[in-house]
Amino acid sequence: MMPTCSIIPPHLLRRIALNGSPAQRAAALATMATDQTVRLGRATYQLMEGGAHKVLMTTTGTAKQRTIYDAAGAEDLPGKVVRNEGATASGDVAINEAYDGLGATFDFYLAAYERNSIDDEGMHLDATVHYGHRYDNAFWNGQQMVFGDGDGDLFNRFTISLDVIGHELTHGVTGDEAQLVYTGQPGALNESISDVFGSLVKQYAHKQAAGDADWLIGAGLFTARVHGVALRSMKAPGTAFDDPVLGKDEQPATMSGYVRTTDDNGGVHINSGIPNRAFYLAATHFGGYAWEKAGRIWYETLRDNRLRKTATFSQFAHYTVLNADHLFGTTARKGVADAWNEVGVKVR
Amino acid sequence: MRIAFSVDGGVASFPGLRRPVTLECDRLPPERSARLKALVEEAHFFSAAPAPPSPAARDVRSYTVEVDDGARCRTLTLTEPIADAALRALVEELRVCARMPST
Repeated sequence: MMPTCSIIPPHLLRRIALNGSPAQRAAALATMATDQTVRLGRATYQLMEGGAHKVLMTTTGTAKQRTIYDAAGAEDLPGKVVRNEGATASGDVAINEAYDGLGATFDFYLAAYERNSIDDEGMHLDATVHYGHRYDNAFWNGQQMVFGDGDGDLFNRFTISLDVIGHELTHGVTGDEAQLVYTGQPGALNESISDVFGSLVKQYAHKQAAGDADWLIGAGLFTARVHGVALRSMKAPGTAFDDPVLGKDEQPATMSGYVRTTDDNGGVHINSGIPNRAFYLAATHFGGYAWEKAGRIWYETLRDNRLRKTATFSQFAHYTVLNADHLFGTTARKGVADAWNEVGVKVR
Repeated sequence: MRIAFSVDGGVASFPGLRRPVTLECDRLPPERSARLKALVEEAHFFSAAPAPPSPAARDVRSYTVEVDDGARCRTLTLTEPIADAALRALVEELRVCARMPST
């Protein structure tokens, strides 16, 4: 059942429930009790015009709240607090990179899409560094980011790449919005969305136009011993590494190379190459800053209520085309449709 | 004791790192073999009930560990972050073993 005052987003309801008059508080509490889901937040934001959104953001505040923890080589989360919001830089490069990377991601989402943190409600950003012993991975545990130091043989510290930080935090955004299931095609879309906005975080921080960006995910992560430049290439999927130990980058660039596998949750980090390249093609078609048009279209699709959790590439593509038309007109619609066609994804 | 170990998932897909390894404890250096056997024992591997993976976690790795001690054989899939400290220590050691050139 939809609450009667569904125009009010959940964070504002909570404010009213805390600070309003007795009548306002009762109404807000009743509404919150009716539908506490994240979906409500998403639906209500889509009802609002840009102007109303802006006013609400100002009302509720959009300040970053970062906390960096140090696991000191253990695998216990979150670890010991080592840098809070506003604290001066540490002597530890991983702590500072995590702090700055969280800040750059927050700033990007706010400036580009008026999004107030991961949940659009000012969620605090937490990260743990020095996780595990020679641990060569980074992950999102559902609440926070976690970075290993790398083994030093193949991998450097995982805080080194700003796009990897943006990638992990975007998993939080997708979890809050489309909630794409983490297997097969919706899983590969989930991964691709993390790469898209991870790359845009970096491009925004460097004020790079689409034609100047490297479109790599995780550049700098490999040590000099590895035959490779990054974890993935959005521009040329399948070319990021070819190494005796790591193997060869197996990402396909088009549907003709789609990999059916039970590994990697059904190839979520493999087949993401296809939607990644579609985004790259759309962004370079538009030119200029990729977050302004292509990024906006993908972002609105991620938040589109019509997009199902089990969306296929084709369904996702369909909504990007509709959103391109809605936001930027028929020429943009054709540019996005062409991008999907070039990677072999059929658009209805 | 024979231990089969494989890794899946993580922030990127590396086909070379997914390669499963099998460790025959009798063929390992005695110190390493003793350490592995002790870790299997400490983790109560044949009766352990690891916590299910978090549904919201992304880019985490899963480890498939099969231990055959002659009398018993069991396969466990452990997904990061591994809450049980003893199982975590076993996986950490197996990660090191899997990287050794001899395996």
